[in-house]
Amino acid sequence: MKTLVVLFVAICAQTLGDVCLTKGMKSIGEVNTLDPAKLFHIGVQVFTTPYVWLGILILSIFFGLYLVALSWADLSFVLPVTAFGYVMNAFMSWKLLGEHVSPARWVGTLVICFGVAIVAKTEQRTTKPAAVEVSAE
Amino acid sequence: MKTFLLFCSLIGGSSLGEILSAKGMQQVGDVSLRPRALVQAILRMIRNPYLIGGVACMAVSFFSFISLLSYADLSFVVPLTAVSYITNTLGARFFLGERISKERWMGTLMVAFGVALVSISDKLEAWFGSTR
Repeated sequence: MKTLVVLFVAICAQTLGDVCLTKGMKSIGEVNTLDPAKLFHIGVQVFTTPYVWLGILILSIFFGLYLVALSWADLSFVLPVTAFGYVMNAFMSWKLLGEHVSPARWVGTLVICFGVAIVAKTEQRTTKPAAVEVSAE
Repeated sequence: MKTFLLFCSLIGGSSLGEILSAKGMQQVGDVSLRPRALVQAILRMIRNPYLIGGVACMAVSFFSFISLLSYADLSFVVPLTAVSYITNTLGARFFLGERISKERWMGTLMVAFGVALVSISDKLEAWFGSTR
């Protein structure tokens, strides 16, 4: 249960982090040059955009929680379950950003939901936990 | 050819990265969320070679992804990433020794199919829209 809770928080962080990154990058504008001098200039812009920093920070939180979940459960369990992020994304773009979500995207989202539900019901760990010295608590 | 190589390093990098990180976290052991134990776990994590290798592989995969995006169509690249759910599960089976039950395979395949469907949904709509 705690694995699912941590993964849920991680997925929320991922969705939010992606939104921040998108907002930040859109504010810079389309990157359509390979000229090193211009790319450098864009690089400077990227790292002085607060939304980009916020996005990176939130995505690091996601990655940390993801690794914590991996210490408790199988990779083949954690990975499909994080696909729930697609469901969250569809919902967020529909409710919060007021974007149009096509029927095919809803169908795909529903299929992901079923897939995640099936995986989530399977045994979380099929390998033996590592024999690590128990930390003093 | 360039596209194929980039695609291989995108999928290969992500699968290898996930598998190495999972292996690293197996070695680090169960992470407790209590503050002191968490700090100890983080110290073990940043010194774990598998984890460092895993993050490096993911970085390679990420740069392949943005290189592909720099010239290929987004709606061509993103559906391909659905393949990584299958390659990762195979990797977990053969390299990490995880037992993948029938249910888990079924769920994983559904997720991969759903992800592919979501990522081609815009194309599908454009297509159906034009035939209507």
